[in-house]
Amino acid sequence: MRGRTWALVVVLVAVVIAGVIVRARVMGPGSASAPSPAAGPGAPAAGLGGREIRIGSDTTYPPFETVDEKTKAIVGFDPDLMDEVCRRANCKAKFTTTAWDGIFVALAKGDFDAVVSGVTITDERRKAVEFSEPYLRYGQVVLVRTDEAAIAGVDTLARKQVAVQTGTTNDEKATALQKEGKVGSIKRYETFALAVLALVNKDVDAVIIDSYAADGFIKVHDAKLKKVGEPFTSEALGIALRQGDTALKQAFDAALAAMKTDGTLDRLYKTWFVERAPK
Amino acid sequence: MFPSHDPAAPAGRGRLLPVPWERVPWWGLVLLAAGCAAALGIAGSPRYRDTLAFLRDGVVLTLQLTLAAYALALVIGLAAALMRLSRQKVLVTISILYIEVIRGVPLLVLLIYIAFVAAPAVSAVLAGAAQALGMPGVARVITGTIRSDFNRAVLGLAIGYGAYLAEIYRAGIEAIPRGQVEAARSLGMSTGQAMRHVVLPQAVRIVLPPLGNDLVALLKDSALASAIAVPELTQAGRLLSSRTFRAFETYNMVALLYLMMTLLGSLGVRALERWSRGGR
Repeated sequence: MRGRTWALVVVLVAVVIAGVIVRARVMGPGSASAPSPAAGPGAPAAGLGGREIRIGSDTTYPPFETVDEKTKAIVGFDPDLMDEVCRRANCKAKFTTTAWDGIFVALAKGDFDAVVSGVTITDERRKAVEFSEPYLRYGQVVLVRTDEAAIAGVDTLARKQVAVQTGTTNDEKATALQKEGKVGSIKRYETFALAVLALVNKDVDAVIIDSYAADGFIKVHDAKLKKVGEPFTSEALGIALRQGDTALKQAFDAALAAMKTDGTLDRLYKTWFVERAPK
Repeated sequence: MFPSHDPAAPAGRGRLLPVPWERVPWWGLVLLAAGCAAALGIAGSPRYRDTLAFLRDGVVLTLQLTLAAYALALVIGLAAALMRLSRQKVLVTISILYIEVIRGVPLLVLLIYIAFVAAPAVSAVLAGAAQALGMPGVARVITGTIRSDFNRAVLGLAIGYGAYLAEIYRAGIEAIPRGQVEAARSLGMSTGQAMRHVVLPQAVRIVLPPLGNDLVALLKDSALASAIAVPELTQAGRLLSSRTFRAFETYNMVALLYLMMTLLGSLGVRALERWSRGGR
């Protein structure tokens, strides 16, 4: 009996070690350093040589990226964008759900090749990651419940309770507003989905959020919410890459530029932000 | 045939130095060294000093949260334990139901449930009732109290830990031989008097060390409150690392601060253990 138990333990340990080694081989730097400048037919089409691009994304952020209830697939503007970018740059986009908290650290240490998660380009982030050219411009807005009468925009948030997702540019903006006395208090949640749920539950008075995401959540919550006031910032979203990853940056920038010129980006924009926007 | 003496018995024989190596508290020395290194690092690095300054409020809130939740858990736990040991079948059933359900649900799930499902619903019902009775002031106090994430976290942690504390109390009370209660009763004491004067004073000695352990455990679990928007130490750390991208320094400091608090707690528990052993 004892002999059997030990044999079982040894086998288990061997299996685990083998699993770790195989995983390390598959996921390790071997596959990441795959791109070879082998020229294919037509110089731009060779691009990234068909390699898989591992993309980290916090998929709780409609309509940019959410997990489809039925198929469990990651759907939204960002996946469609990256499919199109990769079609042009000759690569394969593979989205993985991860938490926003620590997403750039995971990128830096090589868990992902890119972060596409409605990431705003900021100078502070530029110190840690590389950004592609912007692919979308937007402004931040104030989201409130439909029956809200006291809040008419960003200037009416003094002494109000505002929710954001921790560590987003909306968090930064809310913090800055609070320092100026224009926001009462801030509650920080792990996802915008929870922040918006707190708003629906009447735990907070407003959510500061990017305008397109506000539309996404209005749709999810069956018009229990509304945007008030005009967008009060002007920012841009980009694809976050590891610093010094010029291969990806050049390939993605070229693809984005082409998509801007030939109207593909506009079409994607219409699909996700106009046709599917709440009426 | 049997060796008449143990060759290792004479202390210090065959050793270079007469030091009782196995009795040196190595873990303490390692911690001391790590603590000194950390202190030097913090003193010498403005980054660590900034980090520490940012996290200070989080430490205060973590301590407040822990103490408030623990105080409430002590009360809930004692009530549940006494109900569990009572002769009323209904009370026993309620107590067992509470203990088993709560111990079967992860604390994080319990906290999220209270913050996003139970509290908003209860708040709406109570406030509605108060409003209907013509007491808008009371309604405002109710919603204000329930709206606070801090209060929700305290309630969630207290309900969660109350179930564990109840079992500790019960073990302590049951450890006192039944004969003592019977003896006290035969001397003319009521059941309540026997409990107060005979059982509880002895049970307290038995349960204090495990109760102290749970205080330390609660301190660590208070980190879960970061998921329901309480800006305690863990959330402060997340916030800082997302702003500065200095995950290394931030989480080093967060871990060190938790360790300092829990080690102090552990020392207290050890002292309690010594006291409770010595008293018997």
